[in-house]
Amino acid sequence: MSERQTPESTRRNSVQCRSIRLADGNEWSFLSPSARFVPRVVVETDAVGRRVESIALDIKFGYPLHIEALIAELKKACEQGSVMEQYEAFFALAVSLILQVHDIRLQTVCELLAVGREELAVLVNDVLSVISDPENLPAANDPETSRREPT
Amino acid sequence: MSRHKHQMTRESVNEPIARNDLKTVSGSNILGEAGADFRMNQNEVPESSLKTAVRLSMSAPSEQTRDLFSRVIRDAMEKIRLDRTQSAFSWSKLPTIKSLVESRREAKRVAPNQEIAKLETAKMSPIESPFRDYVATTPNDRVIPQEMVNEQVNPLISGQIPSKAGPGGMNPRGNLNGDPSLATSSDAAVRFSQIAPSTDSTDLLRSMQSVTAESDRELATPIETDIPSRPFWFPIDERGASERVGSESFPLRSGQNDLSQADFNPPKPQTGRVTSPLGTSPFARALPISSSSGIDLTQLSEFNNPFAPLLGDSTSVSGSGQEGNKQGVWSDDGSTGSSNSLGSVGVPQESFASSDSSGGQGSDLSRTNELLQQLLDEYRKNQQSYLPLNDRNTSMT
Repeated sequence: MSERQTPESTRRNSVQCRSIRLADGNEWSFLSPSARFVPRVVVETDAVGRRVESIALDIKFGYPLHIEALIAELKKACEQGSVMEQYEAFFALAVSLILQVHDIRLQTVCELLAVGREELAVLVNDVLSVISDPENLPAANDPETSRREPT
Repeated sequence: MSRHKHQMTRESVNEPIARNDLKTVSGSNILGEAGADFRMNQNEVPESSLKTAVRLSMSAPSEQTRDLFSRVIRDAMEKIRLDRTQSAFSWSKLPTIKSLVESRREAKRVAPNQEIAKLETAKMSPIESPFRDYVATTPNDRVIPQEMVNEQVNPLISGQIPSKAGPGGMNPRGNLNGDPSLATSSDAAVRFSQIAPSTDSTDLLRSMQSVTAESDRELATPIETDIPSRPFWFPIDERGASERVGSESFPLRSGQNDLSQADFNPPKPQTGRVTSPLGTSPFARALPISSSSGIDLTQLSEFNNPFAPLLGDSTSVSGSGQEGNKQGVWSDDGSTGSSNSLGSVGVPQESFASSDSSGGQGSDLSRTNELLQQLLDEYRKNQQSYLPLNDRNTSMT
């Protein structure tokens, strides 16, 4: 007998997230923005004037670069794109946010996100609130406190 | 419509799913969440394939769903935009760790006035007290604020502001304990007290009193709180000398006080200076100025005496006490040695030095006390002054 995928069994550790109820009725976690180290190459001169390259770390608050690109893509689609481009950009972002937290297949995530028309507005607002509203972020790595009841 | 409807209609969700389709890094993550960027390539799905998968996996939205989605996403994005413009707490404006570190550094560079305000509400040890800057200090790391000198001291020196000193030569507000009998005759002390009538200085002195009392409590010594304002005056008066020597001055500096200080402080290497628990008080560095033990304040170098620029003249001159004063008064650790009193009675320097080379501080002071007692006894017997001639204090016969 095959094992059923659950949010608890697929959840990665040490990831700050917020939960949203999806099509299967379970609460799946979406990656939240957090403090991140961004490596940067620094070119300096040593005591004798030689060029020395070193790696420095910048600290920022946000998402990994590929998710930041998806957010920018969604913004661009909402400003200039068609509805389908907006649709694809939004769900691509949502899929990526889930994949950062849960160890599941991409196709499964797409199925989880295929909610009905009545709940589409709730899903859109919840996902966008995750990426834009850290004010109510729960404590990191605490899935119990990170759960959020659907509005 | 209930969400459970979707749960029932989505049976494919419950189908067996092979795990680890995406090559992810599992196990310990020493960098925590902040290290997620270093492993993002394992979790990352290319944007193009992600959109393709979304397009393929998700059924094409109907016309009504498309309209609904368009309206919802527009409202949601507008809400985000409004949140970011109206709320300063948007995720992109959250304080980063770097900014927090910088703000913390900035907070350490607070102005002295803010430190004064903080001291009145917070408990601070005398060593941390910013008032060490306002009392007599060593010039290496602390100076008297220039604005304080300009606004309050210079007019006093130049006579622009009439003296408010009382009948006893001491302004009652300047007297820390309000006891006119404790007034000193030193000009430096009078001038220091004349600074007090201003609002800031009154608060300053009030805070200094509280800090002194706090330090005394911490030391758990029998030092009275009025000691800092009491001059270490050692007149050669047969009638009162033995009483002062025996009951006031030296017992406070020797014996039990040193022992109690040793309970709080680790033993220090002998430096040849006689230290005192009073050295931990913020008033300790002001003591030599308020003392009228015959110190010629102008003889102290500007390096040693930060009040030297403020003292245009001196009223009490003692030839015999200067050497001893130079040795023990303006020590870096704030200790005011008993050399003030030693100098004014003319104790030979070699006897003082020999006491330094003996055992602990307590024995030094005990030895000094004994020497002084011997001197006084001989003085009473022979009526012979050990003070040098032409010393002003020798007039006290």
